[in-house]
Amino acid sequence: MILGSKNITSRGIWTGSWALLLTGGAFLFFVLKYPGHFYFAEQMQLFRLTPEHILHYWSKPAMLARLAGEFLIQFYFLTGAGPFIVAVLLLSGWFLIRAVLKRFGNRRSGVILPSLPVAILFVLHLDLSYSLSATLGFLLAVLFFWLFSFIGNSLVRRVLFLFALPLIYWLTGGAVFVFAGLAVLFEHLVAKGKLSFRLIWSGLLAVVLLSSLELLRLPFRLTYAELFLFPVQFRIPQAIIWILLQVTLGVVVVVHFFRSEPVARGWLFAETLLLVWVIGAGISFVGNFRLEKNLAVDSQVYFENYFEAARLARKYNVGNSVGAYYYNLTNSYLGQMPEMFFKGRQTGLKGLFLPVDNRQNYVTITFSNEVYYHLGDVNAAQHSALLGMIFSPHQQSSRLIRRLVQINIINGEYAVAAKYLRILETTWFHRDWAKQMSQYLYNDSLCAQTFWIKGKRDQQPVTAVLKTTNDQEKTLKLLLEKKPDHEAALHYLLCFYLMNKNIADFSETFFQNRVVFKGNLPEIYQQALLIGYAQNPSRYDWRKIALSPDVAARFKKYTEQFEKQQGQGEHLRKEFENTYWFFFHYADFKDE
Amino acid sequence: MNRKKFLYIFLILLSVSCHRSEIREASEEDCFPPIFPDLNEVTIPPNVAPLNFLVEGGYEQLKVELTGNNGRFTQYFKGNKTRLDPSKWQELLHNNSGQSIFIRVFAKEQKGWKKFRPFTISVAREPVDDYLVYRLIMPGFQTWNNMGIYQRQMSSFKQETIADSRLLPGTCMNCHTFLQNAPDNMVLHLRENNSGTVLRQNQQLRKINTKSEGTFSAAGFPYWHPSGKFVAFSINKVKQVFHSTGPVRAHAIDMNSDMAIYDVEQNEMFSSDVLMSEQAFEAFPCFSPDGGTLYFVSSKSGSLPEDQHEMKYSLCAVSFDAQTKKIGAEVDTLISAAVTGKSVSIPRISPDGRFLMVCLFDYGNFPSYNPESDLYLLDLHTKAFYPLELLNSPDVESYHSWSSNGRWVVFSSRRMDGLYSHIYIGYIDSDGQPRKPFLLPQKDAAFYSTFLYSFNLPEFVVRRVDISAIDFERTAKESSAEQLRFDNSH
Repeated sequence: MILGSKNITSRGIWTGSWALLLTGGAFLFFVLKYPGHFYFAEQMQLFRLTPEHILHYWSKPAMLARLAGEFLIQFYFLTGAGPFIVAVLLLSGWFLIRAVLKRFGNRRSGVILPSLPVAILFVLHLDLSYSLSATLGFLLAVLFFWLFSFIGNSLVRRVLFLFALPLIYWLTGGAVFVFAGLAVLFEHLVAKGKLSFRLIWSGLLAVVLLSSLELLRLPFRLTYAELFLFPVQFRIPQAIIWILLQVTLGVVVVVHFFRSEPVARGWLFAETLLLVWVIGAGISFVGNFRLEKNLAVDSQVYFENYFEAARLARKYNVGNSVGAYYYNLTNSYLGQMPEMFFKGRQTGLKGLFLPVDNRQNYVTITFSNEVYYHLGDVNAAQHSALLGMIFSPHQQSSRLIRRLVQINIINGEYAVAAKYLRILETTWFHRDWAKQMSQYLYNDSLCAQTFWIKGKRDQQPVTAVLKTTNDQEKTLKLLLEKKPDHEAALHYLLCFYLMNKNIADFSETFFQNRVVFKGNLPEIYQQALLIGYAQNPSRYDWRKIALSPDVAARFKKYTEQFEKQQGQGEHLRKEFENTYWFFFHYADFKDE
Repeated sequence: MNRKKFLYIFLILLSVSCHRSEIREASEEDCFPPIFPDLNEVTIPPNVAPLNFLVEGGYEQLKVELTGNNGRFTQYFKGNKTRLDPSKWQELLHNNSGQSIFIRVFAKEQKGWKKFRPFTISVAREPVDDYLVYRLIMPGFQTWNNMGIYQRQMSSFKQETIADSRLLPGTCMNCHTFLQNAPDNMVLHLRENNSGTVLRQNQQLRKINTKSEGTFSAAGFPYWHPSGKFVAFSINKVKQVFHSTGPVRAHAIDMNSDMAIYDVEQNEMFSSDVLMSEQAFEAFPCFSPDGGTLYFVSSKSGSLPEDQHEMKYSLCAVSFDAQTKKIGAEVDTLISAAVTGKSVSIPRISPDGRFLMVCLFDYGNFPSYNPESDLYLLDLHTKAFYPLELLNSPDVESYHSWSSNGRWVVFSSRRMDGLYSHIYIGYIDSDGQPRKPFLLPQKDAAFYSTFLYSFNLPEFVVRRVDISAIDFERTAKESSAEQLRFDNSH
C-alpha cells in the first residue's frame, strides 16, 4: 500500500512535470519566438460585445468554437496573452485526450502518447492563417465525445451519437469528424454487440453525417472544401496537417487500446522520437520565422514604438519586400532613410511601397497603408486600409478600422469616422482609444490644435489629380508640391528614382530641392550624383554639390576597377557592394 | 396562491399607473424628436416593414403613439430604439392607406419624460413590389473580396441570398436585371472567377460568354426588351482611378464603350453603326415599355483619363424593330450635354413609358463617385426635364429603378456619410412629382450606424426570386459558358 502510494505520487510528479513542460515550453516558444503572429491575429479581427455580433456566429458552422475562439483572440492585444491562451488550450487538450484514452481502456496512457495530437495542434498554431477557433472546435468535439461515452445504455448512446452529429457540426465545425471517428472507434473497440449491427450503425453514422453536411450547405452557404474543414482553411499545409491531426488521434486511441502494460521501452522510445520529430519538423516546415520578424517590426509600428521598430528592422534586415519596406519606413520615421538605405537589403520598388491589388495577400495589403499614412497621402492610405480590411479573413479588422478613423478625422469626414468609432466602442480593448478619438469629431478647433491631425492636414496635396493605385511617383511629387520641406517625401522620391536607376529625374529632383540638405548630403546621394555628372556634365552646376573627397576618391577607384575588370561585378562586390554604383550596374530584382 | 396572483396584478397595475402619471407630466418639447432615420413627412407604401427609428440622446425609455384616422397603437420600448410590432404596424398601414399617420414620441431621460411634437408619415395607396434585390459590397473601389446579391422582402426584414462570394469565391457579381420587375427573366453578370453572364428564362439557368469576336469585352449593364427575346448590353472597358486629395475617393472611367443587343433565342448578338460608333462612347441601354425605342447615353470619344472632365454624356434614343431586329439609323438626342453642360447616365423608364429617370452630374458616365450627382426626371410627353429635389441630397445619388406600378422608385445614395451607399425609396405621383423618400427600414434602428457594406444596384421584383444559392453556384461553376455568335450583318 505504501509502495502504491509512492508509485502514485511519483507518477503524479512525472505527469505534473510533463504538463508543466508542455505548457511552459509552448508558452515560452510563442512568447519569445512568435509574438508578432499573436498581435497580428488580434488586429485582423474585431470582437464586438453586442447581441448582433454574438448572434452572427449562429449563421455559420463551428458557432461555439468561433465564438469562443474570437472572444479569446481579443486578449492577444495584451503582451503574452496569446501565447498563454494557446499554451493553456494545448494543456487542456492533453488532459482531454488522456481522459478519452481512459474511456478506451483503464490503463495508463503515459504522457507521450497523448502529447502527439497536441504537438500537431502546436504546429498548426505556427501558421498565421490557422484560427484558434479550429483548436477550440477540436477540443470541444473531443469533450463532447468524452461526455457521450459515459452513457451506459448502448442503444441510447448510439442513437444519440447519430442525432448529435448536426448539432456537433454546428457547434464545432469540421471537428465533427473527430467526434464521429471517436464514436465509431468506441463502439467497435469498447462496446459489445453484434459485429453486423455495429457495422450497420457505422454506415448509418456516415450517411447521417454526410447528408447532414449536404443539407446544411445551403443555409451555411459553404463550398465543399469549407463544408468539411470549416473553420480550418482549405490551404496547404493547414488542411493536410488538420487531417493528419484527426488520423493521429485515431491511431493514438487504437495503439492505446491494443498495447499491453507495462509499455515496452521500445514503444516509449519510438513515441518520444516521433514527438520530437513532429515538433521539430513542424517548426522547420510550418514555422515562418521570416514572417515573424516582419510581424515583430510591424507590431512595434502599430504600437507606435518607432525606435524599437527601427532597431528590430535593422537587426533582422529581412531580405524580402516586406522586410525592406519596414526597414526603409522605420528609417524614415527616424529621419535616417538615405543614410541607412544601402546598409540594409533592398528589394526594388516594392521595398518602398508594397503593391496594393488583388494578387497580394491580405498581410501585405494590411501593411501597405503605413507608408502612405506616414508620408501624409491619406487618400492612398485610406484606399490601402479599405482593401486590407476587405481582404482580411473576417472583413473586419480592429487595426484597419483604427487607421480609418484617423484618416477620416484628418480628412474631416466625421460621419464616417463616427461610424468606425461606434464599432470600436463596442470592443473591450479599443473602446478607450475610441473614446479618446471621439473628442475630435466635428471639433475643428481641437483638430487644428492637435499635432498629428494638423501635421497630416498640412501635408495633404492641394492639386486634385487622378492617379492609378500604384502611381507612387505622382503621389510623392504632389506631397512635395504642397510642402517643399517635406523631407520624408523628398527622400522617398529620391530613393524611388535610385531604385529605378533613373538618375536624370534623381538629379533634377535633387537640384530642385537642394536647399533642404544644407550642406549635409547623404553619401548615397553623392554617389548617385556622381553618376549624374558622368552622364550629363553640362546639365547642372555640379560644383554646388557638397561632395566628400572620400566619395570622389572612391568613385575614381570604382571606375578604374570597373574598367579593369571589364564590368565583371563579382570582382567589385567585396569592396563596393554597399555603394550605389554597384547597385546601378548590377542590381536585378526578381519577383518574389 | 390566489392572494399571490392578486398581489402580482396589483403591483403591475401600480407600476403602469405610475408610469402613466409620469408620462402625463412629461415636459413638452417644441420640436420634432431627434430621430434616425429621418421619417418626418416621408411617404411610404402600405406594405412596407415597420419603420423603426432611434431617438438620438441617452434616453432610457420610449413611448411611441402611432395614430391614424382608422386606428392607432401605442408601444413602449426600453432604451432609445423602437422595434415596432409588425402585425399592428401592417394593420395600421392597411387601414390608413391614402392617409397620414401621426407619430408622437415620448422619451424618458434621468430628469423625467419629454413629449415631442408628433411627426407625420403619409401612407400611399399604391403598394410597392414585394421584393427588393440588391448587392452588398464593402467599399474598396479597385477590387473586392466579399460580396453578394440578396433579396429582401419589403413587408418584413427577411433577407435571402441569391448568390454570394462564400459559394463563388473570387467572383464579382453585378448587373442583376429583371424583365419588367418579374423574377422569371433575369440576367446576372459574373466577372473574374466563373466569369460569364447567367441568364434565367423558363426556370432554366444558362451561362453565356458574351465576349465575342465582334466586341472588345464581355457585355454588362443589361436591359431586357419587353418581349423577353432580347437584352441590350453595353460593352465597357472600365478603369478605376483615385483622387490625390479631396472628399472624392475614386472614380470609374469608361475608357471605351459600345452597345449591342443579344437575341436570347438565337444566342446571337448584333449591333449597328450608331451603337458602335468610332467617334462616340455609348452606354447604359434602356428599352421603352413598348419595345420600339432604345434609350442610351452617348459622349464623343476622347483620350482618357486626360479628357475625363470633358466626357459629358447626352441622353439619346434610337428606334428598334423587334420583328426585323432592325436598329434605326437616326439618333435622337433628348438631353444634350452641350446644352446642360453636364453628363447624363443610367436612364430608366417608368412602366407607363412617360418618365425617364436619369442621373445628372458633371462628367463621366458612372455617377457613384460624383457627389454632385442628382436624380432628374424627363417627362417624355411634355419634354420637361427637372431635378427630383425631394429625392436628392448634397451627396451622390446614383443607381435607381422603378417599381412595377410606376409609383415607387428605389435609388442608392451616399448621403448618410459620404462613403457607404444606402437604399432609399421614394414615391413619384402620376404627374412626375416626387415625395420625400425613406431609408430602407431595418429591424434594428441602429443597423446602419455600424454596417460596413454598401448597398447598390437596387431593383424591385414583384415576387421572390426562387433560385437557390446552390443552384446558382452550380450554374456558375459547373456549366461551361455558351459562346454567343456576333452577327455582323446589321
